[in-house]
Amino acid sequence: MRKKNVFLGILIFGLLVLILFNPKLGWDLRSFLAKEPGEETERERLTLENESLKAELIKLGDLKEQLPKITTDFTPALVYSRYPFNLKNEILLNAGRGQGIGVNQAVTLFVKEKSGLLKNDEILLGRIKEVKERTSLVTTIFDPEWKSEAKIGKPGVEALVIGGGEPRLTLIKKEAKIQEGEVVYSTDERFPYGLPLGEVWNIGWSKDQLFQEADLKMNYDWSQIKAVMVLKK
Amino acid sequence: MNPEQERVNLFFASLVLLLAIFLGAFFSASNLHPDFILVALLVLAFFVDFWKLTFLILVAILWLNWQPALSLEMMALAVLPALSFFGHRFFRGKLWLGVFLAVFFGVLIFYALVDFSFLTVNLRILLQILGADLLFGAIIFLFLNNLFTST
Repeated sequence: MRKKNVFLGILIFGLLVLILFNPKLGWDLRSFLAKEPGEETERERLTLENESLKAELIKLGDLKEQLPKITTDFTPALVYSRYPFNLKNEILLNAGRGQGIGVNQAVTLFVKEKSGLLKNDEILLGRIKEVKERTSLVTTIFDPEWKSEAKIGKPGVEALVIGGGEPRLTLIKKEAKIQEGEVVYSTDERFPYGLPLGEVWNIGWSKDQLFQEADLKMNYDWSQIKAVMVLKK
Repeated sequence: MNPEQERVNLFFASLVLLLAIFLGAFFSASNLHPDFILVALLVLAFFVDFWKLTFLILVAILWLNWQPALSLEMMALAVLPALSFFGHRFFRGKLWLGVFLAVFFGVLIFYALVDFSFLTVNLRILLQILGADLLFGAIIFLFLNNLFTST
């Protein structure tokens, strides 16, 4: 009995040490078992940089009419872990203060879609919430607390983006003419102007019938995101 | 210590937690996050002693903690099963009722502690989660209770 208790005591002590001094083990374990992205390898880093460079090339060669172009420096980062409950939508990145990342910097995702208006572009995914030396926590657009200003399409119809499992475009003026498929881009002062967010979908009316509302359609699955770019201000 | 809390050994308790971990990972791929690990801990608190429960809570925290700092979520994950453990004594003879109340209120208190607005704004999601959590809790309870009643 005593031997069992000593064994359990050692296990508890070991776990405490791991939680406090090496939490990365937990993230790696989750990555391994849940098939989430884990620690970067040199190959993954090169692939990421390659994709980022491709994105820049495409931007230079394929100027779109609808969107203002963004030319900002960025830090590539890989996703370590994700918020495990329903309340928030946060991801942990493998880059932090040491890599020049700061609070409220925009986090974008390179989308390689073959169809839709947002093909081959970087999309605003979230913002840096907290920064540590080697890691940073990102609040994504799928977080229920997310609120940001945006504009829709070429006429630049104003809207408020409300985050959540299915992000919504709200407070769109009643008389504004918007169409499904139009690009939504960020005009929030915290981020570089014009970062695309997604496309307008399912246009309808607010409960009080005073505003139009719509879904924000995105052509990616956030749970599959492995690499992102943190834009430097 | 209550007799029930000596019935389940660390191996079976860990198996139940592992099942919760794997099921949780499976469901999270579909963007639904039932709180199976929290539920497993709340139910296991009725069947294991304090130190085994401490071990299981720490395993859960190591698995779930998504950031370097310890968060309110992780503290709630530690405290609620402990409350379930100490509340166990009031349900002798009616263990099923104790487990039901522990899971129901445990999940509600968890969300209330972390973000109270979730209870009111996302009622539909909350009800779905509660339903899944109660079902999972009932399955674990029946497994543990039936498997170890004869011992």
